[in-house]
Amino acid sequence: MLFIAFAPFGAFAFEETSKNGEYSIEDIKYYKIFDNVEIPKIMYDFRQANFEIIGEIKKEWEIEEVDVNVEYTSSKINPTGEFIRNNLFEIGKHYGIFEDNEDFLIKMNEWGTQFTKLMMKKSSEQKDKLIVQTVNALDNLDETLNLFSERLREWYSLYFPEMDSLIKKHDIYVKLVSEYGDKEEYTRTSLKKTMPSNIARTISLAAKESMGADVSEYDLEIMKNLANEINGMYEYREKLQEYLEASMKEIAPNLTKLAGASIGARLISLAGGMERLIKLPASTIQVIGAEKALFAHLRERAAPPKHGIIFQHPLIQGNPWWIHGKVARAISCKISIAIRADVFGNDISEMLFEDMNKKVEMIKEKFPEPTKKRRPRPDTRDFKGKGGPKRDDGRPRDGKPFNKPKSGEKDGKPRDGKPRGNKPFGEKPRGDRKKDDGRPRDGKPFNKPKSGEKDGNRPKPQNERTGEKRGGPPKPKMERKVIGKTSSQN
Amino acid sequence: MEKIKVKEIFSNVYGVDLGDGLKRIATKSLAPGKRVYGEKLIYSENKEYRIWNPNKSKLGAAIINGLKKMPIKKGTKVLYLGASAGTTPSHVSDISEDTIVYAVEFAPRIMREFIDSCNERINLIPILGDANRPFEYSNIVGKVDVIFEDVAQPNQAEILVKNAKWFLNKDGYAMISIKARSIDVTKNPKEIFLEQKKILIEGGFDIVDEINIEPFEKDHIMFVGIWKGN
Ligand SMILES: C[S@@+](CC[C@H](N)C(=O)[O-])C[C@H]1O[C@@H](n2cnc3c(N)ncnc32)[C@H](O)[C@@H]1O
Repeated sequence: MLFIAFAPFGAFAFEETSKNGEYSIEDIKYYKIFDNVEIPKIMYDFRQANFEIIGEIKKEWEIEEVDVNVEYTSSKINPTGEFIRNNLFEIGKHYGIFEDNEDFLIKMNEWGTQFTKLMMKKSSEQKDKLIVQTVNALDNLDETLNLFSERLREWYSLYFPEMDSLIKKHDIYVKLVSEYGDKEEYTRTSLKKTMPSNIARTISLAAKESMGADVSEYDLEIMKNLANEINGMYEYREKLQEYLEASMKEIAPNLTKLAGASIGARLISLAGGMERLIKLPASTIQVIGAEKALFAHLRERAAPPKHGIIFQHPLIQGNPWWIHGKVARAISCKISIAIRADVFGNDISEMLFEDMNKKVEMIKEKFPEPTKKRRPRPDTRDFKGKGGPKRDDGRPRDGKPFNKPKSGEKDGKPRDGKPRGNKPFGEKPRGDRKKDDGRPRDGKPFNKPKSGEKDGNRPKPQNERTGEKRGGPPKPKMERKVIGKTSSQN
Repeated sequence: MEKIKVKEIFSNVYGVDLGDGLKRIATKSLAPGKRVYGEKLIYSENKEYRIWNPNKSKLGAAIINGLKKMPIKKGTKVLYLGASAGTTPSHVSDISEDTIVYAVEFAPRIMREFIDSCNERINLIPILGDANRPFEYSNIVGKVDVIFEDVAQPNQAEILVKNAKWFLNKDGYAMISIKARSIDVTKNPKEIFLEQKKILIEGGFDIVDEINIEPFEKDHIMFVGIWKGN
């Protein structure tokens, strides 16, 4: 029986002799010293349970016929392994691997670090597939939430039509129905617990004077059940979003710090994984998501976006329109560096984040005024604060999604801008919903091509125009829609 | 400014008097100018010391609370299980000074932070691995004089015994920090500590010290054992 075991730098074997465990270097019968640069990879292969090297070594030693006991594979300690571990430095020195103690430390540190980085890379490679799926699931969920929320609105409007125009945000609307249901229960006192008192008053008043038809308790119960289910989906969406943020911080801390979890995840998802994302130049990262948008917007005769998903970045959204292009270029450069750092396991996020902000500050200083004429395409910020709709929930509704407090990002990090899914609901011009746009509003337009189907349930561009007047930023929404489609194609 | 007084209390572990009457400890920094976890740096006789924060390090807390014998000294080889972001491992690496400290951690996210501190300390070897499966790093780690374990797992005493079989020299020491809550929230901490102690003794350790580390950590104990097993 031959006992084989591994040191970081080589493989060693000896026959068990009855020396009571008292072995010496002379007892080593066979050995193979690994090439210095291959050591981390060999450690990595072992951990991946890839033991090809053992076959190669046996061939090299011409012991294919011999009975062997290989320590690592059996998870049992063998005498060769014991001997190596007891004399790791001495054996290495004997075979000329280490010159002295310091050399030993430097090499062990280097191998350990490289090996660990390979392992981390592997773990993020697997994790980015999970992220792509999470992003897709969020998109599907958003579509479903939109669809069902609209259904609930129409249904519940038979009973309490006034609330439809009073509450713009789907999630709040759904919550109210699931909590109250009966018009009599919308009392000012209880509403005040969750919303500003003036809004509470408006709703309770509307409920009292509602022109909606009376329905039976049973009818109402059914509507409430639907609201409960949708509400549960909103809660699930929140969990998914949290999961996405945690996973992003784990696999791509640099990217997450610079772009936020949502944009970062979408970049990964659209590129088809981290590995593919690092191969893209910054200029491509700048427009990821836009190619498809162009296509979709041509079809819907809306102006094509200049930027891809990066456009949703708070540093772009929060700065004047005339520097959008420059800012987009600057941040995509930094993001491109961040992604590489993530793949190689370095955390340089603080530094990159500072650099990025500095760069944007410089651009801002350099271009305080527009140097060119505004393109006709309207920008949401034009309408900021100008007679937007009444707030329905005490939150700023228009034009500044990046000010929205986001869980987990309170510390001045870039926010994701638009938490997808929340956004469109609040913006959506509810009052226009029923406008006849010549399309069937409900049910699937089954004669439509599959890819167009999704659009059937979304507001038409004209609606979005109207939406702007009401203060909702239409552009990100269009982005969102397109990206959603794209990623589900992956 | 008060004069800073630095006095060696264990090998390479220093008591520091900043003149405010507080009991402080520190280690001589192997990577001068670098902080690992925002600790305070002080200078005495041209040497840089890192103040060891007992609120952030259980080993630091154990020393402040009167650990009788400190097994980690200059020149001890250490296997550190549950390295986390490197708070305690960095002090251990300072103490061992020119001797190897293998640091195992299994969460890739945390490893990412830890790996940066290893850059500056050549004696600190980062290993991504699961302490439950010692054979997985048996081709990297050599025999050591001390195993320090802080993994907050329900089976942590067993983990220590397993690792001792692979890596601990006979008569080598183990230090294990046990958090009652991570083993069983419903049980009385005292009972849990007794159970864990029993596992250690049956596994092959003589328990030579036990230190409660309150008020720095609640329901937390540190056992020091000598390995008689194999
Ligand atoms: C309480 S923290 C250690 C803190 C560290 N000792 C210090 O004082 O700086 C516990 C760490 O052990 C790690 N851990 C838990 N189970 C582990 C296992 N089976 N193998 C390796 N590491 C583990 C966790 O990821 C976590 O980072």
